[in-house]
Amino acid sequence: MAIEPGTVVRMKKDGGPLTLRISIDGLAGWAYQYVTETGTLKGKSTDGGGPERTHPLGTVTSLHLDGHAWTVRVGDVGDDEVTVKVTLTWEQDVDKDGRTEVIHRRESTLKVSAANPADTFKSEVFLVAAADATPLQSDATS
Amino acid sequence: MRYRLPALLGQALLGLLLPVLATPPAAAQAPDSSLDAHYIDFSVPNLSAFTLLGINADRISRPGNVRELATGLTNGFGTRGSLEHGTGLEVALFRVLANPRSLDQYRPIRDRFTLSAAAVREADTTRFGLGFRWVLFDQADPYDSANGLHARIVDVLAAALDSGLTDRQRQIFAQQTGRFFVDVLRSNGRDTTGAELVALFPTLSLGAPADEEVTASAVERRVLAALTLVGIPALTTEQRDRLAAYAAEYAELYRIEQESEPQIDAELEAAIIRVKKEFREEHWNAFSLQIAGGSTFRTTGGPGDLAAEEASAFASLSYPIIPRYGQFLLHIQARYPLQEATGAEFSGAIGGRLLIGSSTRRLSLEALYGANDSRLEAGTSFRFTVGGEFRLADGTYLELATGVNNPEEGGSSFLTLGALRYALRSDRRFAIP
Repeated sequence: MAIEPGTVVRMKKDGGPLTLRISIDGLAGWAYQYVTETGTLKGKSTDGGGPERTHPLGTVTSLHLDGHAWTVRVGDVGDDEVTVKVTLTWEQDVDKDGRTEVIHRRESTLKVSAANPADTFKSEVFLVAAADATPLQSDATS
Repeated sequence: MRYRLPALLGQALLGLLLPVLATPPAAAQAPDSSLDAHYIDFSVPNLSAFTLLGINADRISRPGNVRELATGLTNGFGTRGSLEHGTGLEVALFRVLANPRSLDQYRPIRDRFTLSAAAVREADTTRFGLGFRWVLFDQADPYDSANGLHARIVDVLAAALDSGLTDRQRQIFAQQTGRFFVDVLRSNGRDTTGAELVALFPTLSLGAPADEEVTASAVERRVLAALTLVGIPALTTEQRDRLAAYAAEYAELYRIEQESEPQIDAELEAAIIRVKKEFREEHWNAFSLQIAGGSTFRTTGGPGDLAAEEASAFASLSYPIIPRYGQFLLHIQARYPLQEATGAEFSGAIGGRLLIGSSTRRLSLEALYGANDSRLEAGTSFRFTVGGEFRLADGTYLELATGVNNPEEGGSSFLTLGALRYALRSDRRFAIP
């Protein structure tokens, strides 16, 4: 299980609503959930990788000083070691034409095998509205 | 009717014991894959080559249950009263060549096509059968992701992992501690959205570096050190109290999280086996349809006496008649003799088998009507058997039956049938006990 230190996501305070994209690459079965102030977002897939999942998170005003916890759980019932790349991307609308900007991205590589049939990637984020949403730290871990 | 009970009883016992005493072939060695882990032994395949040879219960072929490699041993008494020993092998050739290793690489139409070969010894004659079998529909195919097994396993993955520290607990903790740091920065006249908050927040998030001691006092020291680094050397009394409370909560949440991990893995394995068992109990009698064909040959062992016997084609389907507890099989077969002496004349057979029971033990009632059968002295025959199918272990089934063969002309005779079947290359890690 990978529990990584939480991160601060800086939203552009005059920007539009935020969206979270989750993509999984390299496994037949996976599940995730994402708990926010307004509820729990859940998803699972039986396809290899499968399409990206997108979840609207809300407006800057509603998300300011909000804490979120997210968990991506991957699993495989085979005996081969399988490597899974998990990517979470926070995007913010920048105009009314639907253009978006990536304000934060987290990546992690998980491994599942016979000895470890499931692996979990957990972290917490804290969202703040800032004048400049440029990330202030590395946006990828593994 | 002519019954010779003492002799028949002796032959019956021998016929029943031979399969049990036979030594199973060694399991094929192959690397496991995600696909193999979905293996479910509903039963072991009916080899088309056995059906072509017309021996034992394989006269009514059960569709479905395609495996990469399956073997069969049969012992019994043929319609002519002689003891038959049959051995056979079936291989899903295209699947073996393609070697799909995950569900998304599995192709039902390609991977449910099999080739088989079998030989049966009857008195001084050995007969061979070569055939193919193609299962066009199989609602119990465990590798077909649309049938629900994989979806159930994914549900297990999600549910089994939803233990330990909940996301809701973590979400509340992240919110509390994030706002704590914002308050501290604000009370010191600092930017509450910039680099200082980015540096402070991870020190009280649950993903602490693994090499650090995770106790309340250690966490508190870590946070105070981080505050000092950003130029905040002291906290108010109220802030110190809040920090102490958060540090204590952190240590407790971290302990819960770490202790849940081994338990999750153990529960996951058990849950997957349980799901597979439920799937087998619900689907052992599912609908399936197959077509098959091939030829038989005969030899007495002498040089150059190998002769083609007949070509044959058949189709069979299975249909659930009682959910979980009953299945009906229908089998239709046509034969064309290839030996000139017998004359080029079509023959055919139609039969059915009723299975009542469970996924591991079931009663079998079988009836077969044959017309114009070149192997029979009479033109038509009717065969009726009663028996059972028993699962001995994962991938190993025993089939026993006894009954009467009643040609239209001539006397009836008893039949005693036994078959021990093995499916190879099954995954053992998730084997159903």
